[in-house]
Amino acid sequence: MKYRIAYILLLIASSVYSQNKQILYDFTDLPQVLIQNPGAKVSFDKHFGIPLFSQFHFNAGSSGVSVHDIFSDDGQDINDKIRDAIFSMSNHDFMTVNQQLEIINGGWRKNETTYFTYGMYEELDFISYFPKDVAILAWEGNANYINKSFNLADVSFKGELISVLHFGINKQVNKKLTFGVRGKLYSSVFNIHSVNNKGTFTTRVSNTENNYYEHVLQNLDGTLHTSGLSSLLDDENSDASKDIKKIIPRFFFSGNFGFGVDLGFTIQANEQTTITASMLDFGAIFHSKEVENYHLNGSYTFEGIELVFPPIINNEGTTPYWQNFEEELDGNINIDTLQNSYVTWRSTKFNASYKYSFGEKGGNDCNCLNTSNDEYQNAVGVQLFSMFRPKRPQFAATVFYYRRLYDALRLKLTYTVDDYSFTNVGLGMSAHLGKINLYGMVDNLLQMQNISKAQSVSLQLGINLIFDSND
Amino acid sequence: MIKQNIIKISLIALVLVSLTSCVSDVDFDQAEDIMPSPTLESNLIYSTLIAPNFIDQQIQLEAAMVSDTTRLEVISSDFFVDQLAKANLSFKFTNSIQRDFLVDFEFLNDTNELRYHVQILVHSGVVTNPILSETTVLIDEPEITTFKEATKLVYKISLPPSTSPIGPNSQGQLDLQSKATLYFEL
Repeated sequence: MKYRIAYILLLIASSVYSQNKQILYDFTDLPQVLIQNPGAKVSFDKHFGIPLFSQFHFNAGSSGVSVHDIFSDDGQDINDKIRDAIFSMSNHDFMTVNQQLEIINGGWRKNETTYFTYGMYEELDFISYFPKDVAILAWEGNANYINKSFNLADVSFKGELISVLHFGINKQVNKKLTFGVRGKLYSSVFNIHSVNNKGTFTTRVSNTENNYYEHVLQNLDGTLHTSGLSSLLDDENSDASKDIKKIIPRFFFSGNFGFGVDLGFTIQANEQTTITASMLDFGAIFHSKEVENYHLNGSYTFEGIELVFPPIINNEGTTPYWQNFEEELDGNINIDTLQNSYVTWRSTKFNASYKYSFGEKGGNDCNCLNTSNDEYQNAVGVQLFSMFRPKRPQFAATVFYYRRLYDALRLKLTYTVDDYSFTNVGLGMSAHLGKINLYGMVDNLLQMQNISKAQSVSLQLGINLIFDSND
Repeated sequence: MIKQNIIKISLIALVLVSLTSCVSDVDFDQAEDIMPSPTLESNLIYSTLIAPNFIDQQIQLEAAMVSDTTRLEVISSDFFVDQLAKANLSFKFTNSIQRDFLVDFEFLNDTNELRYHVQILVHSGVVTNPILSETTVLIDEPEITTFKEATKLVYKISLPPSTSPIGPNSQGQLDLQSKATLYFEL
C-alpha cells in the first residue's frame, strides 16, 4: 500500500464561509472533507491540524436585505430605506451568523480500510427570523394599523456557543461502499432561544363603545430559554477579559453537555458514478446548569382607565385607578422566571451528491499522489444541502464541475441556488506541488466587486503540507 | 514548470479576487441619521355619568362641580420624557343631559401644580338627541416639556348656574371617551 501522510501545518484563513460548504463537500483531495462527510472516500494515511490554525470559518447572511440596500450612498433618507426593507421582507426571512474554529483536527489510518479521525472545534451559531410584525410595530407604531393583529409568533431566534469533541471512523466496507460515523460530545458555553411563541397584540375600534379603542393582548404564550448567560450578564464588571476567563473553562466543563452523531457514506456505483450523502449534528444538548427561563402568558384587554366619580361626599377622588390597572395587568399577563432544565436539538444538516466522472485518467505528467487512486480528470454533478431551522428547513442545490489539471491543480466550479440568491457562483482550487497543498474557495464570485450587495459571502484559503511516501 | 505556473497563476487570481472585492458605494455614517418614529394610539380615560351623578348626596341638589382623579405615571416615565416629541389628545363627549357642562382636564405633577390644561364646553343634549362633540389638542414644543412633568389627571366637570338645574328625576347621561396619539422619536 502506498503511503501518503498529510500534515496540515498551516492553514491561513481569511474565511467567510456558509453553513453550506458546497465547494468543500466531496472535495476528496482535502482532509477537511471528512468533517462534511465522515463516509467520504479518502486515501490519506494520517493528518493533523496545527491547533487553532487548521480551520476558521465565519459566515453572516441575510435572506432578505443586503448591507447595500440600507447603507447605499444614494441620497435617499436612510429611514425610508429601512422602512422599505422592513416591508419587503417576510417573517420567513432570516439572518444568520455562523463561525467555527478548529482547535484540534487529526486522523490516522489503522489499515487499508479503516481511518480514524478526532478533533475539537468551537462553534458559534445564531439565527433570527425577521420579526416582521414586531418590527413594524416598533418602527411605525400602531396608529396606522388599527384593527391589525401584530403576531408575537414572528419572534423566533436561537443562538449558542458550544465546543464539540469528536471521534470518527471511516470504513471502506468493499469496493463500492465506504461508510463513516462520528460521535460528538457537545459542551454548551451559553444558549439562548425563543421559538414557538404565540399571541397577538391588536388595537381595534371598540365594540363596547366605552372608549375609542380596545387594546387586546390575546393568548400570549412566549418563552425565552437561557443557559450559561445569567452569570455573564449579571456581573457588574464591564471587563470583557473577566468574562472570557469565565467562558474558556466552559468549553470543557460547562456542565451543559450533549451528544450527537454524524453519519455518511459513499457509494461507488461504477467506475464513473459516485453517490454520497451525510447527516451532520444529529443530537441534542441538555441544559441544567445556570438555567434561567422566562415565560410570558395571558390575555388582557385595555379600554382605558374608567373614572367612576365616587359619590361627592368623598370630596376628592381617592380610587387608586392606576394601581388597580397595574394590578389587573399583572394578574392577567404573567411573566415567570423559571429554572427548569431544557433540551435543545442541534441544527441537523444533510448533504447529498451525485457525481459523474469522465475524460482521461490521472494527470498528464507525473502522478505525485497515490497512483492506485487513479481518477478521471473531469467530473460533473449535483449536490443538495438542507438544514433544520426553527421555522422550516433551509435548502440549497448546487451543480458543479470538477477538473484535475496536470494532477497539480484541482478545480471545482459551483453554481448554487439557495435562500440567499440565485446567482451564487463559487470556485474552489486545490493546488498540489510536492508536499505543499494550497487551496482556496471563493463563493458568491459575482458579488465580489461589491460585497455589500451580497446577502451572503464566503471565502476560504488554506495551506496544507502533504507528505507522501512516493516523494 | 507548467505546474508551478498554474499554481502561481491560481494563487494570484485568488488573492486578486480577495483583495479587489470591496465594499463600495456605501456610507455607514448614515447610521447616525437612523431615527425610528413610531406613532402610538392609546386609550386614555373614559367615563359614563348619569344625571343623578351630578346630585350632591348631602343636600340632594345639583352640585356645582364634580371631579375624579387618576394617576398617569406613564407620562413622566423616562421613556416618555426622553422620546415623546409631541402628542395629540382627543376627548369625545356624548351628552344627553339637558345641561351645559364646563369640563377641565388638569394634568398635575406630584405637588399638584398644573402642568397642562384643557378646557372644553359641552353643550346640553336630550335623551332622544344626544349631542356629540370632539376636541383634539396638539401638545408640541414648548408645552410638551412641562406636560411630561405631569403624573396625574383630574377630570373636573363644573355646572354653571342654570335656571333648570339637574334634579333627582333628570334623565340622560354624559359619556367621555379619550385617547392620545403619541409621536415618539427614538
